Parts: sequence; structure tokens; C-alpha cells
Amino acid sequence: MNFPPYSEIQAFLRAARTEELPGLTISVLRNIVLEPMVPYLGYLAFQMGFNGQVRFGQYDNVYQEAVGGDGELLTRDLDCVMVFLYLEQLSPKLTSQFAGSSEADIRGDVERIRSYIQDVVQGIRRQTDGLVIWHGFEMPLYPGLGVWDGQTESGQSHVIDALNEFLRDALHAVPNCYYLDMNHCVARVGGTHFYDARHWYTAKAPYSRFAMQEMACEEFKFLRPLKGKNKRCIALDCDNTLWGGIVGEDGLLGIQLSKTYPGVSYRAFQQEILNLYHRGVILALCSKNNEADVWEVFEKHPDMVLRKDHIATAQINWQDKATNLRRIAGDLNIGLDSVVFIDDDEFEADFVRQALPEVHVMHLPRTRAADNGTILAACGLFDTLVLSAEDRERGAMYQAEATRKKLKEQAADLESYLRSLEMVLEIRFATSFTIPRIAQLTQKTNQFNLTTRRYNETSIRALVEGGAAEVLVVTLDDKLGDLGLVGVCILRYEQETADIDTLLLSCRALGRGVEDVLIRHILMQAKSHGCCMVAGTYIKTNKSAQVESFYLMHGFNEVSASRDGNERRFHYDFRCGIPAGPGHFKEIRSDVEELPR
Amino acid sequence: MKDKVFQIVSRIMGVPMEQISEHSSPDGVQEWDSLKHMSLLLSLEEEFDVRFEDDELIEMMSVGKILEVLQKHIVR
Repeated sequence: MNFPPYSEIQAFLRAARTEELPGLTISVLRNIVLEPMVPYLGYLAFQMGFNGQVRFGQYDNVYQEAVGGDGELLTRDLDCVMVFLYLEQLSPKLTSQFAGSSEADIRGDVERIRSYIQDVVQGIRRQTDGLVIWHGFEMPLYPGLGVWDGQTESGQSHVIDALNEFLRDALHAVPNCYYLDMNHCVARVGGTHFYDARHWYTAKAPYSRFAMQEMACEEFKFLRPLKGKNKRCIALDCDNTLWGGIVGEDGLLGIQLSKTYPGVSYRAFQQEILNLYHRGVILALCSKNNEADVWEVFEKHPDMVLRKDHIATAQINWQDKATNLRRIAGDLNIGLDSVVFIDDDEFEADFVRQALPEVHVMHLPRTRAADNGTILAACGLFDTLVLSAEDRERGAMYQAEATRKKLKEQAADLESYLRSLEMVLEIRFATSFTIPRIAQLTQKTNQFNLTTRRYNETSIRALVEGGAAEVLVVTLDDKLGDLGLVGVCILRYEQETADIDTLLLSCRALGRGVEDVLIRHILMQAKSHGCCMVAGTYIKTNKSAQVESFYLMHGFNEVSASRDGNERRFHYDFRCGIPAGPGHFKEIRSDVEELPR
Repeated sequence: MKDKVFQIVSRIMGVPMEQISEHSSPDGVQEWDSLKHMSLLLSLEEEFDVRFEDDELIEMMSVGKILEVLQKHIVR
């Protein structure tokens, strides 16, 4: 990340109307002076589309603020708490005076710091639900006992390592608390540039501007996913990006791609891309080539790291790249603001920047191909706060989806296509295993979502355990792969009415008749619960138009509507019976009892 | 150089350029506190690609002094 000069950032942030953007509120607990860092945070927040609002606790008042409480600083709905505990300030015996410290001194200070950490973590969590980013302790550039330090468990390096390990465990035990490894930051900047002793001695500000830039970048690797602004897809150019040279001119064996220099640079770059694929990033191609030439490289070149089945979708043609990127986003059902476009060509990069400002463009010139792998690894745009099994398998899911599309094009009619998928659908009551995914779906699903009511895990758990409601989930599997948990229904019971509070399907399950099976099972469940009425609500949002007629199409009658027409209520009359479900599923398994014939 | 220094001081302190002169100092400019002063030094080092010496850090307590110190570095 290259920041503009510090004074320009300040002028820029003053001129930009940041107060019109949504807020990103950060409170900093610290025992050192860090205020000069604020413009860097503000700048990255602005790039993310937020107004960074940074508040500092009193200098060296961490314990009082965390444990004693400070209602101004640590508010319940704060986005983020950053903790900086500079070890020199906490314990000279473990830092500048280490060589002269006795074992008892060391043991004593380690114990004191451990309980300090515990108290502060718990104290923060009592006051706020915000994300905690705790900056770990830094290793000394020159360990206290010289080269001997690394040979012994009583060395300074080992003592600080052990403290960090304790800190990591303490954070791990408390929800939404994260460890930031300062030693990575120091390593990237270089220790001699990371610290500025002049400001440390004059103002208790240990870090240089380079350090503050690097720390701000690292912090935003947490803050981007917190705000759902992490990128999800890389759209790649091919010639001079994935390999050196132009395949259409140089031919399959003429391009630079090998285990030796210079082709090895491109292999290393591909390896970084593949690493992101394994972390759940979707890969797409967006290049001006003859399509057959590109796939020939993917299939036949012995030194390709990426394979065709890593690529979820491709636009390889001679049209402009903005059009192609729009198609890629459309194919994958993601927003353009989730896409990173990588190209070696300055013209293409600038063209996309102009035409699609929401796309993040990385211009990686071929003259620096050896650096490109590191640049990609450094960008931090794809970081996530957790790495779930689903993230790891996402690439395969999109690949299966592409195969499904092909099958659909080949099938004579929709019915025979759906039959050919051999779908197995399950409808189950929610369990503690499925609650996180249920909450996630209520928060993420916009299109097939009748009411767009958002819930967190705690409120879903309350519904599941409460007894006045039931939560049904739908999972789907087909011959090409498991689609996982794709649908949710929340039924609230009030006297003899079952009210469909929430009914949603993930976009990957649309167009398969899943909703027809689900509504049938909802009706059956309501009936076996003893209800004589099922009520449904449609709340209009700017994304949910496709389900506007859902209830009417499934035999409900409209009974009322809000004055602006944005909220409509529907009732189902059991006297009409319950409709039969579609017949194209290979198997339907359900916790809901079938009706007696 | 003078204009650039004035601009940097104005941007860091958040004070209009017209109000900055060689006589500006923490005493006359209300916004110029110790934290802003640190940001100012950081910013000057960045934009003029210099590193101030220990004594200079103490000397540079007015725009005039800043210009003097920078002059020395740039002539060097």
C-alpha cells in the first residue's frame, strides 16, 4: 500500500465530506502516544467507503478504562477496540533491563502481565460488543542475552513468545477478539525503520511513520471483513499476467512459464492466486484472446499451477473488459465491488478504473513480474475473520455450478434437466450446529427473501429454544456437489395461527423448485401443530421484487397491505388442501410429518 | 521551499495558509500542540526526504526556525 504524503492525506480528509459516509467507530486503549496514526486510519476508512472516527483513551490508562469502565470510550455498539500495550511501558524488566533481571523478577512480571491481560480482555467485553484488535508484544530487535538468548528458555525471546501465546489463548476464549501479530509488521518494514527513538524519548511515541502505515494496513485486514468489504473474486488477465508473452503470437511452448527464471516468476504468481483460491476466493478470467488458445495453455502447459477447474467463470473474447467484468459479476451473482481485476496493461487497468470505479484494479506491470506474487500476498483485500470449511470448498462449489449451467443448456427441457441433477433435499429443524449459518443467511440474503428480517446468532438461538416459534432449514445436495444449507423458514405460533416470519433461499438454490417443496412442508408443519391458519408477509426492498408474487402463486390470498404498498399480508386457507410438491427431486427427507392420505 | 513549508504547516494544523508566517509558532497558533508538532516533524521529514538531528528537533519551534534547519539540510 502506498500512501500519499501525510500532509496531503490530512488536507484530503478535511476536504472530503467524510461525515456523509457511514461511521467506522474505533476506540484505542494504549500506553503510548499513537495519535499521529489517525490520518492513515481515516484514509483507509475513506477508501472503504466509511468515515473513520477514532477516539483515544487517556495515555497509559488502559486498565482503568477497560476494567473500571468508561462509558464514553467503550460504548456497546462500537465497531472496534484497538489495544496497544507497549511492553517497555508495562515492564522494563522484561525489555530494556532484561539482562539484569533475576528469574524471580521475570516470573513476577510475567504473572502480573498475564492477569492484567485477562482483566483487560474481560473488562472490554463487558462494556462493548465491538471487534477487539489486540496488538501482540514485539520481539526485541536485539535480544537481551545476545546470541545466547535464543538457546535458553530463560531468554528474552522465549519469555515474550510465551506471553504472546498466553495472549492469543486469552483472546481466543472471548468472542470477537483478535490477535494482531506485530512481529509481521516489524518484519515487513524492517526493525531499524519501524521505531523512531527520537519521538520515543521526547513524546512516548515509539513508532515511525512507516510503522504506523503498516499497522494501519494490518488493522484494516480485520476491519474490511468486519464491514463486509473484503473482496471475493479475482478476475485475471492472461497474457503477460499469468504467463510471460502472448500465447496467440508466441505459441503454447513459446510463452514464459517454467521452473526457471524468468518463467518461474509467473509460476510463483499463480501459486499465490491458488493460495487465495484455497481461502475461498473465486477465480475468473477476463482476457482478450482466442478462447481456445487460453484453454490450451490451461490444459496442456506442463508448468501451469492453475488448472481449468480452478476457474469459476471466464470471459475470453475481444470485447472491452468493463463489459466482460460486468458479465463475470453477473455469472457469479456477486457485486462488482467484490471484484479485484488484475492486468499488466496500463490502458486496460485505467479503462476499468474509469468505467467501473467500484472494481478494485491492480495494475501489475510485466517489467516487475518477480514481485507480483508478493504484491498479491501483501494486498490484504481478501482477508476473512474466520476460514470456514465452506470457504475452503467455495471454488469447487462454483465449479459445480458452472457444470450445472452447461447441463442445463444441453438438456431438452427444464424438467429433464432438474431430474438429471438427482437432487436430494432435506428439511430439518434448526440445531446448534446450523444456527450460525441460519443467522448468516438472514443477514446476507437479499433476493429470495420475503421479509428481509436480519437476525444474529443469539436471537436465532432464542427462537429455537423459546418454544413459541420453529426454525426450519433446507439443505440441498446433487450429483455435482453438496450445496449445503440453502434455505430458512421461521414460523411463529400465535394461538391457532402460524406466521411465516422469515422465508428465504440462497441464490445458489434458485430455479430448482426448492421453494415449492418448502412451502408445502411449512403448511404441513403448521397443520400438524394444530393451526387452522397460516399467515405470510411480503416486505418490499429494492432487491426482493422476484418474490413479490410468491404467496399468490402458492395459493395464498392477500388480506391487507400497508398504505405505501410495501408490506403485504397473505393468508392460506387449509380448506383448499395442501398442494403436492414437484416430482423432480430424487429424494426428499424431512422432519415434518407427511400428511395422512 | 518556503511555500511548501507553509502549506505543510497549514495542512497539519488545519489553519488557512494566509495565517501562516515565518513567525508562526506553538505560542501564536492555537492548534499547534505537542501532538501536532510531532506530526509536523514527521511530515517535513517525509516531504523533504531528510532526517532531523536531535538538537534540531528542539530548535524547530517556529516556522522561521524550521526554514533555517531545512535550509541547512538541503544545502548539505
